Amino acid sequence: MSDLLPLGVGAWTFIALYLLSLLLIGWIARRARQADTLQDFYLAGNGFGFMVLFLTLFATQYSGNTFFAFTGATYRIGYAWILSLHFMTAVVVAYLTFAPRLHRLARERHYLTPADYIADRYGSPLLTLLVTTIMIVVLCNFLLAQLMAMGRAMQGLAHDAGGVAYTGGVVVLALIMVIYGTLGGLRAVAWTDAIQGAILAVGFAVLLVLLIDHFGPLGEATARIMATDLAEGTRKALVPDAARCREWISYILTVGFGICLYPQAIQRIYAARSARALRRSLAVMAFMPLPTMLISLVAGIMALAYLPGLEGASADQIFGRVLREIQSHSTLGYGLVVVTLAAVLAAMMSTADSALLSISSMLTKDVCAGHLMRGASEATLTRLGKIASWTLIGVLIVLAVVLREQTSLVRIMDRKLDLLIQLTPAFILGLRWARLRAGPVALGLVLGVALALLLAFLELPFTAAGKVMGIHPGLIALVPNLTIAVAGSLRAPASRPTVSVASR
Amino acid sequence: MIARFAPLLYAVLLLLAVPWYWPLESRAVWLGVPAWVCVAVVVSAAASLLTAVLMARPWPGEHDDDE
Repeated sequence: MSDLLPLGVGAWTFIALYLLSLLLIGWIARRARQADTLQDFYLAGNGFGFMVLFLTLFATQYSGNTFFAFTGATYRIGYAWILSLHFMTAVVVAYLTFAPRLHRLARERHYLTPADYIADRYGSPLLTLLVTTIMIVVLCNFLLAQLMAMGRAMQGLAHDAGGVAYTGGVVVLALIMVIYGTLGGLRAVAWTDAIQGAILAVGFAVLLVLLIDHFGPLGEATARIMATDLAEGTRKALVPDAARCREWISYILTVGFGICLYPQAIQRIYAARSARALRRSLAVMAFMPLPTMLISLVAGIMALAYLPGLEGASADQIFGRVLREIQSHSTLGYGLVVVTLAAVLAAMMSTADSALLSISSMLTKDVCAGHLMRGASEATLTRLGKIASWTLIGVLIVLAVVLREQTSLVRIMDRKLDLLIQLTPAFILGLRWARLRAGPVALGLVLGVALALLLAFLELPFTAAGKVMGIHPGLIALVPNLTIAVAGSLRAPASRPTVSVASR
Repeated sequence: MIARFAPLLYAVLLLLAVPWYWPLESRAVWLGVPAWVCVAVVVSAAASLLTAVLMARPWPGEHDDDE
């Protein structure tokens, strides 16, 4: 956002008021707590109704990426990024494969973390530990990336080429997040998500109006891009070639099944007050990719047609350029850009706070209560969870500041969906097939993760940009993972699993 | 009824969503965007609608819940 014009006092006041309102919500959520238990702190007493559940799902699923990376991707590859519409829809479709059974089990057996289901279903400490470790590693990386994105956003807003605004942004926003998170737990996170989700929705609507008003009809932009395609041999408006089509299928499956297995997503399934509230929320979520993805696509297309010139990684800065164009247009444009900026911050914070709380719950329940502090009271564990949040955010703030210039390092670490999709057999197949056994699932998981990382990081003759012929390494690694889990379970003697899931 | 055929319907929608069947030289524009993009949006909307319809049906054991 370094391309933006300097923000005035009014804009900063608006942003400051928004941030203060988050602290106020945290305090109100603390007063609304019903018990000093892990269930109340991490799952809000399983009391989320339709509207809060929908808004928290929306705010958690759509992060700063939706504005920056997706607009940048459209700028780079053109209309082919319409595939984002498909993969975000695929996330909700993927929920259908396991949410109904998992929600019912969670209600009956009082699950708190994703590992609770694994421990209950398979009765294997090894598999439970593997799943917990993968989820914590993935989420820590995800949270670090969000903190760094927040720092860069504040750096851009403050027009500070040095590191003061970056560091200040990371520290202040992370502290606000951890304060309201530890005050009110998931209740505070979900209520702030509701505010952030509403701002996000307004931000998207405002952005569409600004884009059409400033750049004109979409048809003219399309005609310009198509003319460039014909002149330069690119395919940014023309039909994607076979390689791009393969990439589409890979994205749809990897993102669809990867995102729905985020621990915070699974915990929202647990936190629903009822199956009815959950399925109504998911039904509305099924339509959300249409407005959100189409608007970020339109932003990228307008930029591609009228603001050409950025190449490679710098294309991710195009969203800032678009806002600057609109900002300099009129006073109304300036005001609307401020609302959009608040939506960007909201998108980043709502995604990060959910990840933070989820990691804290896994460290407290799965690691401390499960191994280190057996028999500790609920109040002690809840207090421990808050300490875990503060410690973790402290470590990640230091890492975010130290790694400020190491964006490539963060990108290398960013293979989260390739890892998360390896959990598909343990969660989704495990809920639907009673014969699935812990041993083969654990073996398949280890080999799947190893293969996914090897394919992603080794420069092999058949890999390019961490993919094999455009296919995500995680999707390729899922094949042997799934084969081992199924074949190994078929060879094992038939016996009842710990939880009789297939009959539910 | 629709739940039984849902996997098949999603598979068909996935096939239609990816523009592998469009001629590479197509330059048709509908409603200001390339025609293949229009089709992708319609297919995605159909997938959303199908998902919403499936979500509208009560899940097994839902009557036990208190709303």
